Amino acid sequence: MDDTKLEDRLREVLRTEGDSIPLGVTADKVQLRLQLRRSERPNRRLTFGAAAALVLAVGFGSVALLSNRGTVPPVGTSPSPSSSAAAAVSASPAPDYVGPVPDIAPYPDWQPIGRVNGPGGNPQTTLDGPLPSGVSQLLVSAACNGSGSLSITMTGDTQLAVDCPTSSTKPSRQLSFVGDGTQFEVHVISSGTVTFQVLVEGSDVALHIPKVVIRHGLDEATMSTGCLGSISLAWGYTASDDCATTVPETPLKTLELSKDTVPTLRIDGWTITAADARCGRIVTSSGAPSLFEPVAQCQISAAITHSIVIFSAFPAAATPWVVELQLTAKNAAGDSFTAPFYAYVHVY
Amino acid sequence: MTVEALRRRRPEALDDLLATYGRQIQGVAYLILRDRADAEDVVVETLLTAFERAGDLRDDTAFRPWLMRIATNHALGVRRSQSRVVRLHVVPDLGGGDHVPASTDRVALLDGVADLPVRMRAAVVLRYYADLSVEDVALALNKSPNTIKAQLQTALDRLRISLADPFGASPSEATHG
Repeated sequence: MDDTKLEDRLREVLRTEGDSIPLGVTADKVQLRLQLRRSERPNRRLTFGAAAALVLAVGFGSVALLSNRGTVPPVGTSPSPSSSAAAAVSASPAPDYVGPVPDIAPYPDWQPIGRVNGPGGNPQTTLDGPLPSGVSQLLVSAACNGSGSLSITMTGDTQLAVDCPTSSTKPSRQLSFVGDGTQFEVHVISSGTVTFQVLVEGSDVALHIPKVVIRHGLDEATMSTGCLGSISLAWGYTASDDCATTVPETPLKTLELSKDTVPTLRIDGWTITAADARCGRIVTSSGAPSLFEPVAQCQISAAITHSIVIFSAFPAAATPWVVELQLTAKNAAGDSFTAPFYAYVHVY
Repeated sequence: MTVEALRRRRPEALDDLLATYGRQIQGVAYLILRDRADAEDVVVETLLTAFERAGDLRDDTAFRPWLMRIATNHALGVRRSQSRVVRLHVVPDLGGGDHVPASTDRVALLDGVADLPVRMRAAVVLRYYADLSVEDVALALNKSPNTIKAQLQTALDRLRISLADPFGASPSEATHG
């Protein structure tokens, strides 16, 4: 069965199956859930002004204590948000005080965009504000003192549950995809007697993949990154993708190589833990992505020596080979990735 | 149903949303999760998320893909929360109700889709059930269009194997004929 017929049959089968179930949700059920949700968060939309008034009402005697609650202190070395762009925080008062939580250090390569310290008791705290341009991922880190727990909901509908205490040096973390959203919201509900700090950071990607350059002598070519197979962040997050051997759409760079010479490769700041090289061609067909296909006449290998990848020699050919290098590498923070990289190698 | 009514958080907008898109959201969720109760939960959560986040939507013409994206994220979230639960293989309920009579290739295709990795299954459902473009599927799943094209092609290849051997050979055991 060709692709078109298979696609048509698949559409028919999925529509029959998906539409065969009567809608089991009523408007009343949705409205009820909406009311429940609203009643669960009665104070989440307190304005910054209201929170400030709350702080002032407590008086000078508690200034030192309150300076660590319900406010947004400057974050790291990043530019502070402007008044219009400042993250707004609302917080309920707390009946008990456990002790301030030391600042959570920003995660490498992420941009801090908000930080809030919260009170104990049974309050709800909301941190929200505009997302900086280009941010499509949120990283929320939480640490807490005392006995209890935190339940954190963030834009992107990801949740983080934290059992307190959790150290500031090893906070609980969660990643959330916010896409092209313009605002972020982080809601914290604490239970028990706790104080906490939540740090919100943004990035365009969960992990910045380093530039990979294949070289020989003074000649070099930056390899194009293929479909990211997996990433693993030091704090415990892992993600993987089912990647086909799709060649990137961007034109591949070419390394010129004389016969019987071997190219090498290293990635500054990263330790290469695994490398597998294949040599082949690009196969294209109309309307489909270009695929890498190994070629039997070009058998190569890659060896790792002191974090440098050394290739075996490529056979001479009239047209450039495509080299696919499947790399696994780890940085100093402990983050790692596995991904294929592609470049042309022209052996003359 | 207008997006504007949703942005203004008019309660009746939720009813309209349910009437217009409820069944399709439920279909997407059911085909990803293979569980009616979970699919119904996804419908409710999707509607409420859309109700609360309509202000984030920049392009009104992209409303349906945006809604399907929310539904998919909720479904994948349910799937993640159940990832430690070992589920038995679910045989599609092919008799009674509104179902059409079973046919071998239909069962093979549904089994094949159910056996796909969950994100690949989501891509297939969004493309072939919800009829989203490859670009919209890519946005919904936070992947590049190229990755989605490759995933869909891989899925078709696997489904073709399921059709060729509907009674058991796994993709690694079967061969293209």
